[in-house]
Amino acid sequence: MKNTQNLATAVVSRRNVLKAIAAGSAALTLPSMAASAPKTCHDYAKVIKFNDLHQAGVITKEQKDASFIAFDVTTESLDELEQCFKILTDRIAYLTQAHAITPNTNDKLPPRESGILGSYLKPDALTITVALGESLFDSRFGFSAFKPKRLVEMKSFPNDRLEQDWCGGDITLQICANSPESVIYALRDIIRHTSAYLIPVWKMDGFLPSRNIDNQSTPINLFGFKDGTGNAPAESSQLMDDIVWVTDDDKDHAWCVGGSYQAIRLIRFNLEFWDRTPLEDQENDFGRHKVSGAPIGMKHEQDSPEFDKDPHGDRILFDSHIRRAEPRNPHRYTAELRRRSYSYSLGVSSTGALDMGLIFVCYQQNLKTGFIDTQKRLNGEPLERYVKPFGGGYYFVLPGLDGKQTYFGHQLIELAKKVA
Amino acid sequence: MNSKAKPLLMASCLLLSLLVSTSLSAKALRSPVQTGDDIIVAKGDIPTPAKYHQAIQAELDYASQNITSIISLLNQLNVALSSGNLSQAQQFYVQAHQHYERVRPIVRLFGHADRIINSRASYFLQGTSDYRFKGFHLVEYLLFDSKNLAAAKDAVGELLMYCRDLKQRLAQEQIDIPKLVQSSADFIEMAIEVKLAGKENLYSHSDIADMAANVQGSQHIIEELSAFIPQSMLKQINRNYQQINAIMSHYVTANGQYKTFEALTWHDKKKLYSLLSQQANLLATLRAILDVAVYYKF
Ligand code: HEM
Repeated sequence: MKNTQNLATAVVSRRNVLKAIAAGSAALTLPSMAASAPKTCHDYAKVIKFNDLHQAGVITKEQKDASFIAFDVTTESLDELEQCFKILTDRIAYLTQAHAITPNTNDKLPPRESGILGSYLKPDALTITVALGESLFDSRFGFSAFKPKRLVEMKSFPNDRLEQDWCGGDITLQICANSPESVIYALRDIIRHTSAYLIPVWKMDGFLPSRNIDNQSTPINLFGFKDGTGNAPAESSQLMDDIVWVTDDDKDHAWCVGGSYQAIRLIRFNLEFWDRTPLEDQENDFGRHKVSGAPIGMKHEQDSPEFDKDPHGDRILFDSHIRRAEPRNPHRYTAELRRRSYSYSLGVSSTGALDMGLIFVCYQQNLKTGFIDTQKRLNGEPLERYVKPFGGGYYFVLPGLDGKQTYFGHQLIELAKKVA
Repeated sequence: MNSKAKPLLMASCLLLSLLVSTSLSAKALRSPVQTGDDIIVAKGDIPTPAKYHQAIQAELDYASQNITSIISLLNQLNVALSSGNLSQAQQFYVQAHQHYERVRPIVRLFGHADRIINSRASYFLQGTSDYRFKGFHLVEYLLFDSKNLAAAKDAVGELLMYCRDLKQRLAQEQIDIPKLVQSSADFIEMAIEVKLAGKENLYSHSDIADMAANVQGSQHIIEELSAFIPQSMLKQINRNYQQINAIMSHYVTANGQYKTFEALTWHDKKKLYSLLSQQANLLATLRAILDVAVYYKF
């Protein structure tokens, strides 16, 4: 009852504002406009469950900010690695939930945490996704017999310009939240608690446009194209079991069930060149209209490209990114993967070029039929003129904490202990 | 204001004052708020308890010995230069700088001495051509990069002058216990930040030697303070030093020197990162463990 009354007054006062504007009474208008400015709708308290059948952050709807960090393990002791996984799990459990931060009682000690979020830790939709690199399955810990069946080292593709300093890593963390400070808080906390076992080897921060996430529209990448339109819908759990998660009938190791393969590709864009490229080339390179995101010749973003009604590639070029990546032949999701990419922005090159691009990330049940085969279809695409992959790697996202294991990596560690 | 709003406002004031008073009691203030015309006498630093005097004197002696070694090595360097023996001169540089890195956080306590004696070219926009680029790293540059023996001789002469100054100064200075405790950790921090990246000696590539020196310097302070550190913690600290030194020992050469930085394997570098980080974490708690008073609390 009260609410409706308030609403009514609000409507009236808005009308008054309109009247005031019409009357040209600036003195009246400005304060009332300020008062009616929308409050922020950012829900810092949002919690995303970290312990489930699968890890969070894989098919979770994209948060606004991300940091991808790769570590090498500094110990050769299986017990210490186990300790490290336990600490990681503890920190993830702590960081992804809301807490009042315990005040520091002894000021002769370094403060317990960075303090950058104030006195209350709100998780801000934080997810931290733990994945293991191919290099961890060498002889150090006795993991080699248990290496996920499809996990291989990332090899260079023809258009790649891989830089050693941006490649590989024994363990990656994908840290996502709805503000950069929430991501950085988590990152610093984790480094502080794991520096006895892990050394960071590369890190790349990513972002998605706030306006798109807030409006629940498809995020626009730095080329100005909607990116994610044709992505496999996370709501379809059957589809996710078919293309993202390792399942029982997948002939992988039993310990891998519930996990997923992660491909990370750090891809530099030549944006100055792109901005000098005619619109028709830009659109044909992707096979979609720039503003609407619709397949070329179609009206709406979600319209099907109707490749079967374009048998000679006159409308959507055979060379276009979407037709190569996802020919929808013999079936939809020929590309058996789910993308979850972020944009990045660093400095400038020695020739004055912006160092910006894409942290391309995709998850799949099978690296080969997912990322690798798709990338092979993309090799030679016209878009290559504007993009140069320079880093990343392949990793295995550990299964979730579904009760069978109490910390990330538990099953793998137990297997290795039995052999050792 | 309508009457209903008042109690609400009072309640929130109460809440606010509660919050403020709890945060006051949780953390002491530096000084009471000074009001009125009363003259307030400055209190200065908290005097170091007598029980630490011996440790401090030992550290000052250690610093003085190391500076003496530097002076003697620089003199030998000069002789080598006079006889045109570049490779011997280079050896003397590396050894002299190693002695410096054993006491560097202590030198840093004394004004800007470290800036004058040990600036790297990267401190300056103009790099090696900056007029402030002098001291150890100018000598290093002239010996290992441009190999200009005449200029090196001048640079060594100037460095010797600064080192003699430093020695005199050391003889008159005192260190407070908080600074000594802090220095034990500062050694480790400078090893992690610079030597582990090989960025201290860009021309002589002798960062492994300097890293070893930093660790020795830190270890020396802990030895002097060991009577005050709880056994369990001391054990942990010493175990870390041992493990760090074990890795460093892989790099000792036949003549007792250290291999160049390029020899440091990724395997050992990442281990050092973890061990040094652990040590830095531990030493960062020493002030609290020893309950060293640094500031007056009001
Ligand atoms: C080089 C940087 C890349 C850019 C800028 C980019 C951008 C895009 C855009 C704008 C679309 C169309 C909208 C959409 O469906 O999301 C798209 C679709 C797609 N991309 Fe990429 N992409 C890049 C790299 C890759 C890579 C490396 C792969 C996998 C190997 C890939 C796989 C796909 C797939 C499977 C689709 C879906 C097409 C569809 O369902 O119709 N992309 N990409």
